[in-house]
Amino acid sequence: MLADIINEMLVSNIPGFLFSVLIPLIFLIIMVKDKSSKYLMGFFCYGIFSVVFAFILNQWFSNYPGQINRVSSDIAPIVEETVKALPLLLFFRKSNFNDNLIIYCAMACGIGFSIHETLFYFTSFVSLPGLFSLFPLIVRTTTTSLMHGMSTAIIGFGVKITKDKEIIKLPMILGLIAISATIHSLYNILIGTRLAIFALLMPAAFYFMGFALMSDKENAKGGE
Amino acid sequence: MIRKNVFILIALLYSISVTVAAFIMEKNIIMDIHGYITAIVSFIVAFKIMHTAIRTHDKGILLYIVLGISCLALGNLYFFLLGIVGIVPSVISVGLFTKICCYLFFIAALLEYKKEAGEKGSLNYILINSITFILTAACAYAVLANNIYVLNSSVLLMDVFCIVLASGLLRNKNARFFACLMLMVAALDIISAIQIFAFTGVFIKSLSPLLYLLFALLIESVKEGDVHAR
Repeated sequence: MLADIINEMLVSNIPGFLFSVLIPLIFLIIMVKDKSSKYLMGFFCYGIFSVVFAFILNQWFSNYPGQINRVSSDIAPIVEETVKALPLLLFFRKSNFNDNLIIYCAMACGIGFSIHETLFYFTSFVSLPGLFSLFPLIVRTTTTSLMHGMSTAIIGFGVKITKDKEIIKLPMILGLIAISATIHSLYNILIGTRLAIFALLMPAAFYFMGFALMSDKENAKGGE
Repeated sequence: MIRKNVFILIALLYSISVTVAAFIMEKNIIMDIHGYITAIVSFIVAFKIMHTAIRTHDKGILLYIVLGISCLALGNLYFFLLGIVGIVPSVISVGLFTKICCYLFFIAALLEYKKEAGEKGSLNYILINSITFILTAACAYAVLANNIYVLNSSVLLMDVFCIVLASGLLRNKNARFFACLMLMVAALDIISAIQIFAFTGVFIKSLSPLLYLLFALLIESVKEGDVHAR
């Protein structure tokens, strides 16, 4: 089964998009000397690359009997949120950096993932003529990138609050993955219903809430 | 104090009337309306508690309880919104998984209480970490593979684990309310899973607003006591 899934992925647009975006970014990461920027771009690159793992796992679980209707509502949210959150565990081992960097890196990871995913769906959007192709693409780029970015940022927040604590670290991250997966699942389900406006506004609400909370913290520290 | 008791009494009366109405009318509409009421109550309570946690910048027990309640509220919101658009979720859904994951945060809060009480032991933490991680990973696998048996057994073990941890805190004066609440939640979960009598399931479901109310009272007592490390 795995060989079939990998073959399916190899004939798709994924490898092409992956290398056309990743290789230039890797050159940039090598050149940049600032550690925080390196981290941020590294997580962004991982986000782009993680689509590969997400594709394989989504296909794997959707091949189970009776699963085809559950892919976007139940399987993809859990798989994608877990895959995006994996590199954040690195922060449990490192401690000499700005705490907010974890949240920024998490968001970079989610946005990287969303960019690759949008590119993957791009071909189906551009099949429509003229400007009609642009509208769904703009909606998707705006809301999906925010949704992926903010859902991973929630997990980043969890890593930030638990990294210095003795208590259950990893299970708490799993709990936050569940919260992110539910937000993701609600977005996927509601986008095709009469409550689509709720799905479209939800990521923006999270973004502005996060923005306000982060600004508050930076102000409290007197700006860094 | 009187106001708190009045709220509890109303919530209890509500549970009894929902159970009776569900049996007299024998229609799903009562439970549907109850689902909407629960979602609204949980959301209001979660919002209120979250507001308190943000205002006090609490990074200890209060934060864990907030995250646990948020899991429950988000799970309820999931089913509420799906109900509005007329989509029937699968038996094992992401919403259910989120509601189960509230235990992780409540276990973290219980451990924080233990830590405050001065009960140490790094081995305990490693053991508890491993057990909760395995159980949650099993739940996640159950959702992905649509396996109800794995899910039920993991939740049951999580309930038992929660009962063990909470019962160890009953002697601690500061943690007693929360420990009792956790014992109640876990025990009700086990009873509803077993379903000895048909009405027990309906009655336990109808107790949800009361439980949320008790969580709100717990936060009030935490604020009043101000005993937690920040």
